[in-house]
Amino acid sequence: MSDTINETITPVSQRESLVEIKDLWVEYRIDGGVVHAVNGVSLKIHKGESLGLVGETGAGKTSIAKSILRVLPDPPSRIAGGEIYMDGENMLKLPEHSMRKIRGKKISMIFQDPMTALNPTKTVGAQIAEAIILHEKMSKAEAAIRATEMLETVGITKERYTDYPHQFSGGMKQRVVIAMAMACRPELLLADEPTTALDVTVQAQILDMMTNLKKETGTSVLMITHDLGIVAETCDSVAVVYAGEIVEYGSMTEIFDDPRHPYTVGLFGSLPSIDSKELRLKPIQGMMPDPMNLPSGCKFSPRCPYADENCKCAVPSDVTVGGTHIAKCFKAGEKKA
Amino acid sequence: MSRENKNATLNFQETSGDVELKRTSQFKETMKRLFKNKGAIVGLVVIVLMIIMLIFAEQIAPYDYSAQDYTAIYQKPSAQHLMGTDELGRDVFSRIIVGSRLSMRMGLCSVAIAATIGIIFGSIAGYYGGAVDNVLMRFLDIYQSIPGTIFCVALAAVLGPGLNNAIIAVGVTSMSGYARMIRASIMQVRSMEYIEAARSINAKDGRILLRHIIPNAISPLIVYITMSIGGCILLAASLSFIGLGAQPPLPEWGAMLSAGRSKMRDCGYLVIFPGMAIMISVLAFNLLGDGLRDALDPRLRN
Amino acid sequence: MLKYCIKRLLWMIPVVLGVAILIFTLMYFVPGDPTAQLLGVEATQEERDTLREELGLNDPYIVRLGRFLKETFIDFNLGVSYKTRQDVAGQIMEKLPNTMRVSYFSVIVSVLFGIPLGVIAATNQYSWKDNMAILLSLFFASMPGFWFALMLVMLLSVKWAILPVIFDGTWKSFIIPCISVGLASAAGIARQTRSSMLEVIRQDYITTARAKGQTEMKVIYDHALKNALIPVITAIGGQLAALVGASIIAETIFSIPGIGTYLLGAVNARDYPVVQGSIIVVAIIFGLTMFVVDLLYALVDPRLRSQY
Repeated sequence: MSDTINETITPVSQRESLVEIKDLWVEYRIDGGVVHAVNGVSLKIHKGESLGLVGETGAGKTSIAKSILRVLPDPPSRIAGGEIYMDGENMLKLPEHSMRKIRGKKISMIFQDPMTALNPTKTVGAQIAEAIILHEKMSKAEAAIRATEMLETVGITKERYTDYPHQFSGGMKQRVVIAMAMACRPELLLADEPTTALDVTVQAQILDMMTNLKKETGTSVLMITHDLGIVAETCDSVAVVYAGEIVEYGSMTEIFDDPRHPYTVGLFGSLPSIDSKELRLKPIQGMMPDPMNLPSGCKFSPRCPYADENCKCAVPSDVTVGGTHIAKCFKAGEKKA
Repeated sequence: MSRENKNATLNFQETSGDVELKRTSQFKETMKRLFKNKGAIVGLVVIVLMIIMLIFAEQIAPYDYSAQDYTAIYQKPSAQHLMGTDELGRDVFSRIIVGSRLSMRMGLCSVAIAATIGIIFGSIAGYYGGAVDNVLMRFLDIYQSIPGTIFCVALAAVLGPGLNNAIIAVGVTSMSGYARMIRASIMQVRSMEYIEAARSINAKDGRILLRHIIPNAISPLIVYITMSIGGCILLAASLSFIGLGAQPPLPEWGAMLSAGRSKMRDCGYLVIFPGMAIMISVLAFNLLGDGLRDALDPRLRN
Repeated sequence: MLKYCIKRLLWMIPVVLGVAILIFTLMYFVPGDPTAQLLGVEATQEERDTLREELGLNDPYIVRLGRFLKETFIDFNLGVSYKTRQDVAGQIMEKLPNTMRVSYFSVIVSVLFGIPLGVIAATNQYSWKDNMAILLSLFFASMPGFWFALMLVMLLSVKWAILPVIFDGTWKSFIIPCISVGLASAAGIARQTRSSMLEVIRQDYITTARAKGQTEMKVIYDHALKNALIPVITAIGGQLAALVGASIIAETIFSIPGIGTYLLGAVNARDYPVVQGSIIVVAIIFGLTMFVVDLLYALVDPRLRSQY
């Protein structure tokens, strides 16, 4: 696969940076102790880029996204350290009312389960219009018109403006959610597993629609998913998350062609393939560590087939493999796939 | 979650690759959660104190509850009479202490009656379902269309005044809550597949009831019983207040309130202390019930 | 929607009939001879027997029941008070408005205090505000309403004399009865509001609303509360029974000329036509109120609207 799949002329890594996360730490305080959900994550999202955030459930992906928008429930969660820059400002230090101007306008978020993402007691039209009225200086009537336009953009007839969420199917609800998120033309869309709860055919439709919208508006997308297939279809770059850390990062081709971190290798290895004659699936042995009780040294070392004594004591730092490709592994230099 | 291990919770602890299984019994965990709740502990302590008080009432009370002293009527609280005296010179403090026996008795007995009637009623309705359930539920609807206090008053009117009649009246009135609760539990379990499985291997109805339905229904039942003891004490005291429950000279707190009302202006203490006694005992049961509810249903906590 | 209303109202008919039968049967078993009351102590046995025949008191249960049902529901005749010889139905109609006023104002009090208290508790979970709100609710729920009323009277009417001691129909005289009855119910409503809000606040659509940039105030009151209200309406309905009972008792304390005093006076005087009649009327009014509560559901939850 070549890089010419990207429509834009400039390669992603050379574009302007839109949002930069520096050394983010997030923890949750629960009855039994402290959950270390995000442990020193640094990430750059460029303008017009689709960045895939890949990892298992519980790796910390959603926490990262929610930290950008600062919609983490506090208590029990807490941003324990780090900075998140947009337009030169550290958003983590902004007062709440400034943050509210950013939410829904500069940065939007869509959530995983469309069944619960919409308010059951309000019409879908009103919910989209609400986003518009909050940020654009428009009368209610004008906002309603714009909301109707958004509905049509996502493929829902305007007659359904006054319908309630329970009158829509899952896929259509997700379209409404996307319409709501894109209504004010945000610069960054945080998509938290937007198609996980939908069945496969609907999934394809929604992804297509999102790709088209993105092309039209030039919105950057942070696509959180555990599905490598979706990453392959929609993303320019990939960041692999494990136990609250970014263990590998690079462009889509870099990662898919030459994964260097043993976890990434394991992820690809566990995908069933139509071509090969495998008799059994190859899951990664072991389980993700308990976030209240993380192992010392490299957090993946307990499950890593390449690990040695050093890996269990020392914490690996980012190793540049080539281009934009980085892996957090002592053995990053060795080709693995 | 295996069904054989219903009483165990599995705690996984992963330390550098090793997986350890720790089994803690559900009961112990519930107790641990309960004791973290300060309100529940306060409630429990008060109830225990009340029980001690009513067992040793004769030793604790400075005077006999019915001892009349015409030279000391309507005395304000003092060193000799901690809570003053009433219209016949009886020591209010002693009467309140002895009265705790009556309140406890009213609360526990009426709940026992309500629970028994209600559980039988609800079990029949829930278990047999169909027409039987329909008829019984319509009856309950009718039952509950009459506000509780009023129904209780009507019952008490029919039975006549007296403490035991009041207990029966309160018990019969309160049975509907238990009936619905048990019925709901039974219907919920009935629809679960493992009952069908048990039936299909010919397990007898009674056995099904015992081994599957009852463990499921126990938690909400315990909470409900605790909370309704408080409610029944209140209802019974209300009956006594309007003259239908305990009759003089019994030192029942509601009756004492009613008697003291006429002299409220000058002898406020006659009204303050019995009322406070009622409130404290009901509050204790409510606190305990609340704590139990939180301990048995972790969803509401975090 | 209309179909549902009609269905519900029709449903009330068998229930009211059932109540009438239940109450009649209950009163049937009361020991004692009403003729003794009606004729006085000096009446002879003969006079009593004749009166018994006249009143049809010697007829079998079924006949008496049938007669009672016909008189009550077809003739709207609830009989005549044993004590005062007055027409029961007429008396009830006179006294009903007062009772309803006390009850409904108490409901307003309980909702006005209960819902905000619950919202404060839910939005400040684990803080002192939450614990205080829970404690207050438990406190008021455990307090005997009639005692609270007496305490308030002692303080406000006797000591400070800012409110009347005896009910005189002015709005001021409603304050203590309605507050003492209402606050106990407020506690139950606050609890339900709190737990309902806690569940709603965790929902995704609340995070969505925040992610849109909506103000916290609006998120709580516009998005969360509307959804949380549904179980709260159930709670209000549930409280109504206790509330009516409490206002009945409150009437005796304040000498409010309502159905409560009428009923309780009759109970003590063994005036059974009054007891029967009052209970049936109360049950009907209560049933109608619950019907209105059910209608409220449909108003708040659009999902229910489309079902009906």
